Amino acid sequence: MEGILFWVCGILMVFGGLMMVVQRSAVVSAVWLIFAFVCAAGIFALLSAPFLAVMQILVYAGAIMVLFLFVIMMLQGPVLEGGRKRLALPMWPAVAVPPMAIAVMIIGYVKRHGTTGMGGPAPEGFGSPEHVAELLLGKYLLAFELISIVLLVAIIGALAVGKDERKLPWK
Amino acid sequence: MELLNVNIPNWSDMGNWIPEAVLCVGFLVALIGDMVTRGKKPVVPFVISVFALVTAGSYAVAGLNNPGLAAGLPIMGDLVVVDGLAAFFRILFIFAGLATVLFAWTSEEIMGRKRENKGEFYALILMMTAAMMVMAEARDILMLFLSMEAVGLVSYVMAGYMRTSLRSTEASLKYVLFGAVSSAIMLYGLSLLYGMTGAMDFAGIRAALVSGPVNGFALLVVVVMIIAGMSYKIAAVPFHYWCPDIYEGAPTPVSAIFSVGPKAAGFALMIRFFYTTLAAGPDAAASVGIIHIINWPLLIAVISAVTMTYGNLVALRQSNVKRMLAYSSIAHVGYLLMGFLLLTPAGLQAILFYLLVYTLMNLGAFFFVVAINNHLKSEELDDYVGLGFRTPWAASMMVVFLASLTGIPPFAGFIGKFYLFTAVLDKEWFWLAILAALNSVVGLYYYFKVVKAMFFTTPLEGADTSPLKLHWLQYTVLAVLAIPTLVLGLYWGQFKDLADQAIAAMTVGF
Amino acid sequence: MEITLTHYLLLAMVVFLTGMVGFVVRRNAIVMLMCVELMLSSVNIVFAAYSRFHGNADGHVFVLMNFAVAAAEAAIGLAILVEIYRRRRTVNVDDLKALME
Repeated sequence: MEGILFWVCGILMVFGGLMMVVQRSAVVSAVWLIFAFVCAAGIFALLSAPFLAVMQILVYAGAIMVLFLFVIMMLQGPVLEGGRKRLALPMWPAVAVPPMAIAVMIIGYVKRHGTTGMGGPAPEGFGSPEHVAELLLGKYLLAFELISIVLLVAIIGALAVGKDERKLPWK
Repeated sequence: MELLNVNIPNWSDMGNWIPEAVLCVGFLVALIGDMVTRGKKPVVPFVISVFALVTAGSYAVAGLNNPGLAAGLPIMGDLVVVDGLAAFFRILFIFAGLATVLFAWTSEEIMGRKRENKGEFYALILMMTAAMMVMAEARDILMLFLSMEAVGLVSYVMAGYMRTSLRSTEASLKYVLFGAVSSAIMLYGLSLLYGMTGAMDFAGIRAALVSGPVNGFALLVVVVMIIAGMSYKIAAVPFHYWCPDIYEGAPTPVSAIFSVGPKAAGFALMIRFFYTTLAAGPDAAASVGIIHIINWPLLIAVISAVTMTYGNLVALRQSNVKRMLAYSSIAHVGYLLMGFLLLTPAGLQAILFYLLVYTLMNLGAFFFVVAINNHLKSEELDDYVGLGFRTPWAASMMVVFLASLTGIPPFAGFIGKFYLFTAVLDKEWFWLAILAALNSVVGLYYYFKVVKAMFFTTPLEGADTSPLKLHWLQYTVLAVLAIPTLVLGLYWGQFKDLADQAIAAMTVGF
Repeated sequence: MEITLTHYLLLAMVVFLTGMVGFVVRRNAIVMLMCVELMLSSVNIVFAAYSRFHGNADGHVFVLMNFAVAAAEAAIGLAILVEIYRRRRTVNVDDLKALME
């Protein structure tokens, strides 16, 4: 059963990613990316990480992708169509080499460090909200504080970059 | 329902983290101050940020005397630690942040009448300083990643600070896109490292690497990917391409702190990460030679050699002083990596001392460009002709900075380079030392092109030769940077000791 | 057929490379940012798989933090993009040549 689900989710996720790259329209790309993220949530569920699966849908496929779609809609225009580079022939090595290098490296890594098992069944409650919360508010409390500051900086930064001074209510 | 069994770490050791806390509070207060004055009185956030930096700085200096520093003071668990290395870098970053804030106040590019977001600029510098401090303190890959991202996010915003300038916004777009990819690659490396060891903290990673059978190739993959991400932060070849464009596009005070802060923070992170997880260690028992599985010295030596040669050769051709300084900062990363080669305490101490000197001289050189840009609205070398007579004091200080960047005795840059060369020569890496020496000669040529333009070239007929008057704050900050650059070239012992102690404290962990 | 750690690692690799190739091939800055999101998401799979393999949930915490960082990165990247679009009426990186010499 796990095998079938893995293959379904995995192949669909790769397919979604590929379609995102291939599609010319930014809106269609974004929708395919959401599709890939939903499949990733399935992979998380298979890895006994139910909390991550839920968050993947809520935060990634939900909030972040809505932001993308919103911006695409806001900038709606002919410029958003198209946009695949026609590469001159000498450019191909430059495009192909880094991904191939990473592929070789990772396959080598997996060959030497992959395993045939999954290390036994997951313990009871593994990856549940309680389990993650214990770590998040215990051992990793400081990281939790730091991420809140990172998000605050992102808000301030996005405001500083994006606000239109002339239209602010107090000007 | 039963309450969760959460062990909240105790807050009692937050006392050692006052500088970080002060900067975070300062960030918020500066933002609120800016909002209350409706962004019309940038003096409010400016004063708040200066006050916060001075307070944090005095706490950081006072923290140097803490007896617990040698063993390292953990803050709320094991994620970050304040030890000698962190204490050293805290002071360095606060100094750089303070100098930048003071100089930005007089910069037309930041404070000109048509500029926007003046308040946010000061607030964001505080945040950047705090995040860089955390980078120097992190000892867990989660904290490592988060602090790098925090510095990155602030940098993206600051690079695009001049919104009316197309170059500035394009620079920040480039920075965001490539920064995000490089951090994704580094993250991939970190995830595989977590997979290999099952631990997130550096000590646990080291323990797993020492005890278990380590596959050399797998470790090489991980290290290459992590180095890729960190090279982006310190702008080492082949991840340097963003650097000249962003330094040129961003306002010059921002370029100044970019060329010093994130680079030094990147080195702090690399030193702590690679030294505590991979180095052979001082005691022979623990020295299973994790590092010997991969040819680490050769890897770093090649990066170092290519970086310094590339930076210097391209700098030769630049006619824009700011762009030239950007390439020269790439070359300096190459020199700094020489100390990283062997992961010996001597090499790391040399890096720390050189970073200290580099901060002084590089900030100074960039600030001179800011001051001149205020008047001439230009950074082209041709416009620098005759500046030696139009503003003799500032130009002489620029000569000090440039001579120190070249590495001529008796300036501080020479002493810094001397220690770096010794660290390499000790272990008989002659070709690298010779290459670095040749590179310094190349550096001499382009740094002195600026000196020649300022002092020895006759201005064209009809060129403006009226004297330039700089703001008193500019003279002060330049002098504060120039005097140590001179003095450290003659009396460096105490500061070298500081760097030595910083590294010595870290070896205790083994 | 039993699904092993290797399967998850290879899946993550394929997704990561898809994102990377997309980043290099596409010229629309919004799509480039989306490709980065795909790369980050593949790293999350590696973390979750190893977390399961080692039986400790530290990796899960990392994935959660990664969500937040991805959101922050997207927010700032998109804000800069909107700003560029306002001035240049394009988000195609090939048309942004002010810095190229």
